[in-house]
Amino acid sequence: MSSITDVESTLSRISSHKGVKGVLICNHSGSAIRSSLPPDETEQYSALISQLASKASSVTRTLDAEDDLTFLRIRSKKHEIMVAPDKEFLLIVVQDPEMGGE
Amino acid sequence: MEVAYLYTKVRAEFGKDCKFIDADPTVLESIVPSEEFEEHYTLKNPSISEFDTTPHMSESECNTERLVVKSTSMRHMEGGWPKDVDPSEMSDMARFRKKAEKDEDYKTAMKTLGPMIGRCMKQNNTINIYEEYFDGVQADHSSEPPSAKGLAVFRDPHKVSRTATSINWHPEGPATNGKIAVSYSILNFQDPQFMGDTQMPVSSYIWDIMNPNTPDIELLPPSPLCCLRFNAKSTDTLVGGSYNGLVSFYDLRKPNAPEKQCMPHETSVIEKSHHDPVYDVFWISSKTGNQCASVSTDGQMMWWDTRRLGEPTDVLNLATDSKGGGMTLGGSSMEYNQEAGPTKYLVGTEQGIVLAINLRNRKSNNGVQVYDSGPGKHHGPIYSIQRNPTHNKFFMTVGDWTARIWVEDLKTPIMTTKYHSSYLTSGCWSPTRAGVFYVTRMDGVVDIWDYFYRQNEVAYSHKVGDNPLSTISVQGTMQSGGRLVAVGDVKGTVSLLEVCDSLASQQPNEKMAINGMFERETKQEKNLELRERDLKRAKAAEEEASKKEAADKKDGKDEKMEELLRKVDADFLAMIKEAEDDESKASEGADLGEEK
Repeated sequence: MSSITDVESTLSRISSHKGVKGVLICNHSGSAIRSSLPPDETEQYSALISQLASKASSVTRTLDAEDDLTFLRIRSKKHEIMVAPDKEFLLIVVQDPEMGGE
Repeated sequence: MEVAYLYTKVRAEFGKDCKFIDADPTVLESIVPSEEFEEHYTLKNPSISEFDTTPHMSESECNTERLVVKSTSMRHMEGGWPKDVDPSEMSDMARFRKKAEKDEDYKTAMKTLGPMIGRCMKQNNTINIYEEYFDGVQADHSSEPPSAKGLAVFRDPHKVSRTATSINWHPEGPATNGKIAVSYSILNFQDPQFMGDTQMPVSSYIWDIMNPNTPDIELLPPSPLCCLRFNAKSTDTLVGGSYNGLVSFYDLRKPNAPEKQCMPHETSVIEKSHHDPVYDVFWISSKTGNQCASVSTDGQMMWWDTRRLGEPTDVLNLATDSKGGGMTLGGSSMEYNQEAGPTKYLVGTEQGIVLAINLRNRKSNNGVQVYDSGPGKHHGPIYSIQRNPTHNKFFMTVGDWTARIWVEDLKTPIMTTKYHSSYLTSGCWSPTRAGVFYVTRMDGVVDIWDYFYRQNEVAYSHKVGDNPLSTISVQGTMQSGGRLVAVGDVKGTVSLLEVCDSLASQQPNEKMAINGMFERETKQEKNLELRERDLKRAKAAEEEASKKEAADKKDGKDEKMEELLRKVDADFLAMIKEAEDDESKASEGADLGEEK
């Protein structure tokens, strides 16, 4: 049994890392639950990433029926999008690694 | 039942006349009558039958139906909310979120997912696992043999065959997936296809290079376009020049236009436009970014403001002598490059002569500078003219069978390619490599010259098709690109080629070497000119000297003659005087006698 404060502390810990541009929680159908990003970006991220995550997990499951997706990292020129999927929810973090690394 | 007869003949006997001889009959097949056949006997009335000893043959062709594919996509914007949540209602969403946050699963999920993400982030912050180890290393492709491969073919959707008259790449390049604006028109004078009531098809197209089956946008000008260009500053606008001399302006963002079609936003009026097809049009640098310049074979250059195309802002006559007495030349190609000078233009003419126009020197001959009209000019119209992208002082012209390289301040070309085996129709520089240029030929071949490698031979020839090519354009800017080449032909087909790295990426030292080569050739040409001038001067001086001598001689003769005449005159006078004296003496004597 975990309390709501546990969640809050996890999120604040994540946000405190270097180079974090945004933390986002959404469900698999793409509706954002919590977000530290502006609303329009939140919508885009949640809609697009949730689709990509479900596609990725279906790929891994097709390749091996017993396998499952545990983590997804998308590296782009500007930043890295990290996606941790769960049964119902997705935790998405957008980080600028350049800012953190140097 | 199969009756076969093998007939053999020696090779030596082939082609000889037939000789028929009588021969005994031979039995090839014999069918014995049987009762079984009799049972099947039916009388057929009437009956037609044919006999022929030649074998029956027929030719038939078939082709599978063309599969037209289309790519579609959709974008999910608002997230998958449950049925009872209205995504536009903030309170609904807030309620849903609150509910979700209270969910036990949510809490446990966050607890497990948090550390996972944390680990990755720490990893990212500690080491750069995507570090570029070989950054700044320039690959040397020079050993690679040059090559090119066809990527896609864009066919003119119209049934009537038209020439692809110009190709212009979208200035943003690969960011927009690559788009090309292609203008199509029929340049034949009074083409018999359109002598009746049939109208020439007017539309030109913008293609997305990822989708060769259907054009992205159809442009509908009042008359077929001969040239079309994207505005580099505002890439949704284009300007085109028509076959009948009009200049039209397009804005692709026009909201209430039918899908995938675009009518001109503004068009010039026919009385105040060119009287011949507009062969080229350029966006020129201006504060508003609405100015453009056009050139036509009617011998005029016109400047326009695309917001008010009612009349040109300026007109210039392409005359070799502004005071009259010279020729007016028809412009068949134009070059404008802001880096070389915002008031400078180069015009290639139908007569093969190059003109440089500088609006800043309008006082001297209207700003028109005429290049060599003797042996240095082309033997036919100049189809393409372009400045070298890296060295703006030098430019190339393509006409007749050659491409020539010129320098701004010399009247004669500094370099000329050998005569190609076929007539050249168009050409352009590679945007990335200073020494590479492309020319298209009448026999469907693209020739690629690499001056960094050799100057006497084509570096690579690529056969695109059998149709004569009409235009070429290479995608990219000085910094990037240079790999994709679009080539248009007279049947309206645009082929997209991809050239290999060695032809596209800048080679070490290339810029310097090419500049050195051009400078050297310039110096040589300058020295030749100087020498020629010296020779001419010496010859003129010599001629003058000999003339003077001749004149001197002539004068001397006259004096002598005069002297002679004077002498003769004096002699004559003396003689007369003597005779008179004698006579008077005689008469005096007679008088004296009478008196006596």
